[in-house]
Amino acid sequence: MLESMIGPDTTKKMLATGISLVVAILSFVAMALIVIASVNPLWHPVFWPGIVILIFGCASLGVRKKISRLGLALVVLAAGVWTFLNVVLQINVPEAVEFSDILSGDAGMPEMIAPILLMLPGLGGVIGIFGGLAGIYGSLKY
Amino acid sequence: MLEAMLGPDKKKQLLGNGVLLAAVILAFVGMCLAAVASINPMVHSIFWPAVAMLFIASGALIASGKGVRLTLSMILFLLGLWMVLNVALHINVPEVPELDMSGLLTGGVEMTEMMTDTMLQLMTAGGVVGAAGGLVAIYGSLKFSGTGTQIADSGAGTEIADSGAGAQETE
Repeated sequence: MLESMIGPDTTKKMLATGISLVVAILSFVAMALIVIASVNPLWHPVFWPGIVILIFGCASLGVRKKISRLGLALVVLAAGVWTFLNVVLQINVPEAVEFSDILSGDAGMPEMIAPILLMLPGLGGVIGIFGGLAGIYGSLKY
Repeated sequence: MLEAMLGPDKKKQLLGNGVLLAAVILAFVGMCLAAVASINPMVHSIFWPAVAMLFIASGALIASGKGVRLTLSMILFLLGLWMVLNVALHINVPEVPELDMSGLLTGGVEMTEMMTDTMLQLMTAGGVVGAAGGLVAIYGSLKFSGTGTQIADSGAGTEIADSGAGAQETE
């Protein structure tokens, strides 16, 4: 129906923009989850990929070339995989702090809950991966 | 009204996509609930079905064949059921430690282990939402399939659509 109303080219363009919008939304959700858990104390291996996911996910809304959108989606996917693997394989994760360290004043509450908050970057990574895959599908099909 | 405007085939396709989109959203919510609770410490028997749930629901949305959609919907439902049963029957899930504050103070129990009980609730909720998504997807793929036998025998629907359009012209 849509194709007969606005033509095949415009339909494709519209669907491509729609999928790019989905990618942007997913990358925003992923960034929010990752950043909230890694900003204090700043956890560099996860914080910066979270920002990269957002920037590249939103950039896919602006570009028109198929290959550029594919490249951006691949970067989002790679950053999501990186974040996810960091959490799952426990590489570069904040060290667990014992309760006695808090009582003695060696560690604060943010350090104490940092290992618990690992679940949020992990989930953010999964959502980033999903966003990247959606972007790849969209850029290949439309 | 929609049928008179679009015809029965397009309407079915549209409604089918809508119902499967709802299933994808449910699977996404289920995945979020289950994955956030099972990633640290990793509970493999819950985490991977939760992730698979989202991808399978998306696959069902993209697929056009009735059989493929139905199969993927059933897998989605089974994955949700698997997660619920795992928690309900306490199979393949971490044991709930005794909530003793002294364990936390001496470093014998970590904070993440203390929270296991609460996390199991989230996993169950994720499983239930995923199973609901599976049921919605099964309903959608049975009733509003994009392609398949249902469209071939929808002649009656076409007649209704034609007569509706005719009535509008007469008015």
